[in-house]
Amino acid sequence: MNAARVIVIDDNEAIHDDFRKILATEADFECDELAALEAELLGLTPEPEGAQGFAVDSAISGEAGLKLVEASAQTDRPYNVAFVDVRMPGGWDGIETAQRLWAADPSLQIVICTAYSDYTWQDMTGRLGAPGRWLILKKPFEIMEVRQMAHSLVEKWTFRREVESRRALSGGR
Amino acid sequence: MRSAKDAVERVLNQHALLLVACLLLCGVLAMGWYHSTQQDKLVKDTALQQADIYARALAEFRTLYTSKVVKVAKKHGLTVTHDYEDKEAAIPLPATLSMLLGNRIGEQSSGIQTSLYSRYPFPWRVKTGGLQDDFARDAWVALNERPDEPFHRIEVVDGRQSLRYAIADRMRPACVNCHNTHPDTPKRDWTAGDVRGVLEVAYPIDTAVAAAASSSRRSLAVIAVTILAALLVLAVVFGRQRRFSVQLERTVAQRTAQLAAEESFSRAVVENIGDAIVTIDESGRVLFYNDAAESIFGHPKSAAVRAELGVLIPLAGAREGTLTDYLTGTQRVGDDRRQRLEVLRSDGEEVVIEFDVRRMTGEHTLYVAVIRDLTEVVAKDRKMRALNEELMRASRQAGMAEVATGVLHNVGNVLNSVNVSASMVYEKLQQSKLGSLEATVGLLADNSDNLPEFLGADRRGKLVIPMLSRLAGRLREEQQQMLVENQLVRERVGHIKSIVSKQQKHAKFAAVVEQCSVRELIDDAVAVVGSSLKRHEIELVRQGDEDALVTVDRHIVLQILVNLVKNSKQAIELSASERRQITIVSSVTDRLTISVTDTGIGIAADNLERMFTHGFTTKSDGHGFGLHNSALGAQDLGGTLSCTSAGIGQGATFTLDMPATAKNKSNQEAA
Repeated sequence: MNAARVIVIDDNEAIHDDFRKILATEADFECDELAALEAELLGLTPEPEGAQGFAVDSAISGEAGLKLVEASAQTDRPYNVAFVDVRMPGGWDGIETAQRLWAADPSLQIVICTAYSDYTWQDMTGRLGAPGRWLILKKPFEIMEVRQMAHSLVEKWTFRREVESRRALSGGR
Repeated sequence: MRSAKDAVERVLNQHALLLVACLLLCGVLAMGWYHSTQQDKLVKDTALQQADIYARALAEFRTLYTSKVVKVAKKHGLTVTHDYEDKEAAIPLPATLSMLLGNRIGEQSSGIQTSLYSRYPFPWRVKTGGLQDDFARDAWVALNERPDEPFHRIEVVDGRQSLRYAIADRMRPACVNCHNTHPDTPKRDWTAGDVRGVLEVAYPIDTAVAAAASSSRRSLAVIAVTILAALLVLAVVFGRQRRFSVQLERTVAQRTAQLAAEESFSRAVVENIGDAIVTIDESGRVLFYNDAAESIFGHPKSAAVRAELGVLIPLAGAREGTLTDYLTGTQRVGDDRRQRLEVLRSDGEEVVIEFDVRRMTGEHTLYVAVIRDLTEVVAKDRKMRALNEELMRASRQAGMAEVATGVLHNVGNVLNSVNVSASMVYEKLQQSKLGSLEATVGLLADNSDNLPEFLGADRRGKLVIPMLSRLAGRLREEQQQMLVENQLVRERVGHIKSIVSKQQKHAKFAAVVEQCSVRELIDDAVAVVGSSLKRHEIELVRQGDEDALVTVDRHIVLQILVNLVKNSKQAIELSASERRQITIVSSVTDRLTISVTDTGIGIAADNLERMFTHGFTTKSDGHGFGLHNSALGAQDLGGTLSCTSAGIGQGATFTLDMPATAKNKSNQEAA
């Protein structure tokens, strides 16, 4: 199974690395041989297969991010989740970017990242609409929080896709 | 009365020429009448005189003839008779001859007719010698009554106006006998002196009257012409006079109208202008006071006029002198011609006024003051300043928020990475294979008695070496990864440090310089601790140039002043001294110096030097930051904070000395 796709849009490249570290696949260790030795020598049961990692891409501005999303929407593997920083100097801010991303790919799940409140809750719901479509992630964030968000949003995305394709099928019949 | 008199005067003025003409005409008429009557009288008198002389001459001639001729002729036998021409040796009767003489003279000249008549004429003269007409009869009667008085009347005789003059012909003694004895006599009882007859002289006066009348007319004509000429001249002169006076009157009327217009304009201006206009004399007595003054000061005109201005409108606050002194220039406020003062209205409200005084010298010296009510302006000004300050404070805060936002964002991002790295290290440590190493070591310990056999022959023992080698490799990798994360964390902490220090540098330049009076500064500083001063019964004394304006970073100065006043208050609280007083003395030149002196516990000489060092405090609950920060603040302002004290229990003085006009650093930075 192919890994779910995540895009990070933030003007700070250090943040890109942070997301990548948290979400990317743990491919750095040669686990299998050591695990076999541990099982045989120490009688340890091998750890269950960890959750699968994500394929993480990044963009340093809303405009660049939109291009990537538009391109992915044309393929059979579009982005599932986007992490968008609210505050980006020059160009679009996170809210505007989010609106444009949805225009390009309505099923994209969006997480708005904020270091402090540039916008009030009312502002954001006013501009982004239904609060069920997006999440807020406060910086500095916890690793587990980010991972959980990514996983559950991918699940939500998949579920939505299934519902929609089923609806499309029944509509076609 | 007055109008009647005026009307007369007007008529006199307007119709003077006519009046003069009328008067002159009357004069001429009167003169003509008088002249003609005088001429008449003259003519008559002359005629009377001449007639009298004539008549008397005839009478005298008869008397002489009778006495000198008839008497002699009779003696020599000559006949004396009326018909002497028909007889020999006869001569005419005296009466006959005298008539003859009269008629002769009359025929020759002047047309004078002479006649002799009587009631008793001789028979030969009955036709002409009797009483022929009314005059003859009247004369006979009148002369018989008064023989000595001539009787005369003016009548027309033979178509000519004549004076008929009659005198009595008296019977002379020489004749009596003859008349009484004459055979034809109509009367025989004559006596001497009887009126025998009437001698009438008819003297024509028509030529004389006509001459007199013509002379009168000529005179009148000359006078009339002269008067006419005079009137003409008068008319010209009057005309000129009138034109001149009409012009004069018109000019006067114009000027009067102009003056009235100007006066009403001035009055309108004075009464309707928003500024109060008050005129006083040298003693301060109010002479004039307009509507605006009423509304500004509250006193009605009736109360103000004649009142003494200084008493009527007292000064507010503790200024020297009275309002009169300021208006007359005995006292002054500021250097400007326009001066400002606070005074009290009639209702006790304080009014800020600005006034401009003109001194008018004449018979009396007057001061005309134009006074403007600035209360609202000043209040607005104050409000504006407060608003301005509020705005500056808000902008300062907004600026600070902006700075904080930037810091939060930058630091927040970096902190995020730090957090991620730390979490990664934690995960790595959690997942560390150290446990497997320990288990492997435990396995070796269990078989420590037969290690060579275990490692060489045992099925599990043979796996120990490869296991250790794998573990070493794995732990080495873990260490490498954690070193990398650690390196990242250190780098990012360094990054945060640099952000913060940059921010601190930036914040230092964000000083806001504003202009304010020393009074405001001290007011604000005292306000912070004011209530506690009262509570602790500490007296506050303020002296010096509090009105002066300075341009400083108000917030830093305030922080310092508040700190100093608080310290002083605490020093007094700790002291047992009876004098509990804080004195704030300010002076402004090109530098602003504010000293705060207290009567508190004082400072030991040893401690004086250390007063401003960081962390130094003599207070049990102090941190030693207050004075240290104040001193740093004073340095930032380009000034110094110094301290003197005569020793323990002697009180202390802290003095802030700094430039009175600071340059706006933030503006400079921005440029």
